Amino acid sequence: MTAKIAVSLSGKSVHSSDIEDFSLNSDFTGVKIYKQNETYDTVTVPASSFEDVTITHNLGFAPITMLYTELTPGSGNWFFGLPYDISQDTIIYPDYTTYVDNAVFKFRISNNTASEKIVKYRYIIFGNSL
Amino acid sequence: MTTPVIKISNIGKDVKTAGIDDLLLHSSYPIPKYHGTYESSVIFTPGDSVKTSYITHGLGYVPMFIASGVKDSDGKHFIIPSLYYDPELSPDTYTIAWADTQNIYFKTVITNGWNRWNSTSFYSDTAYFDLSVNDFPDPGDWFGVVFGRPSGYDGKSSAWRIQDVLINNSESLVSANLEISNVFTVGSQDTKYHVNGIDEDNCPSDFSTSSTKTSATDTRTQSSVSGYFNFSTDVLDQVNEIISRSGWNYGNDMGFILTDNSTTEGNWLGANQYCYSSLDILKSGNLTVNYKVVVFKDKIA
Repeated sequence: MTAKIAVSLSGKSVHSSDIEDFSLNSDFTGVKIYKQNETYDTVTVPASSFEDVTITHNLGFAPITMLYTELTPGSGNWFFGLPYDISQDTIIYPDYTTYVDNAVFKFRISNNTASEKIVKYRYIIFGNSL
Repeated sequence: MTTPVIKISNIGKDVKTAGIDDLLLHSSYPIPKYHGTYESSVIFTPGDSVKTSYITHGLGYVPMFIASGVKDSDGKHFIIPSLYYDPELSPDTYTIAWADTQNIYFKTVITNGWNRWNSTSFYSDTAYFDLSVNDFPDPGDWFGVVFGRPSGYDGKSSAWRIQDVLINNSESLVSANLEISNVFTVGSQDTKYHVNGIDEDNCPSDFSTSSTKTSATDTRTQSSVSGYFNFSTDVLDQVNEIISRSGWNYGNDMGFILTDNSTTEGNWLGANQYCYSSLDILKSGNLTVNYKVVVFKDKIA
């Protein structure tokens, strides 16, 4: 008999067949945060130019990755993923310059303005492959 | 002393040798903690190009979140941010999401406007002038008379063809406007005109001001304007008559005739060599975009 571990949500039966009734169930792989910058990092992007950010993970597989950026520094608005909104000071173009592979997560921040921008970003790399 | 570690492997994997990808839980790697799932929606009416919405998470900090959306026109789900989630709409159609310490925001942009279609054609292929000449307003400049009565002439008219009109047979429309760019008025009085469609299933390449006209017609005036401007006239009735023809098909060409209506001599509307014509259509029907966001308690900022 295969051992199993399951933790149901409050009010739900541990014998339930509905995955949504569990906070943990070894029948289903959960996502685990492998690496993140728990407070933000910054990248300085010159006026009308771009900067590439490379984060090394060396997991040996391309992992699930999340990126949040404060595209207009100081706005308090954190955008998820690769948002295409040219109204912000900076933008991350969803093209070949942004990707994750077996070793690194890389993205490019482009500055749409005539002055240097210091952009905050938070990344989360999960220990789960794509 | 070694720090104790708690590990749980996935089914069939050895907890002692499993890599991180084969672990259900490892005390060195936090698991995102679920906070809540929220929904919101926006409605695009014909011509709308930007809609925003938000939900309140109230966590007091910027949380981790994953957002998705679905549009009611086809029920397709998309991850936010999305790019070109419907290539048929426009190459500049996307949805984005962002968070601050209190809310998660959504914005969908349909740059050309929801249910809006327009087509632009340059005069060299798509305009017929009863009268076109050189030497106005400066020697060497070319112009054509859109409608009106230049000094020394009878009333003059023009015809315009819009190619590849993407309207279905008898499709329900909200508005239709024929637009001609880079036009100018001559004279101080109003220029008077009729506007008709060209009553054909598919406007032929040899169209002219003598082409058969639709029953639908409007009589209007154009006031004197300083400098170049873009002319626009309502042609909804004319378009509806054409697309209700049994032989009208999606992608056919459509034509219009602008006929002088006894304008006083010396008053007319002209177009220079850089003019182009376009048909701006709004089709009926709204679009609802429903958003859903899963918010985690994990802090981003």
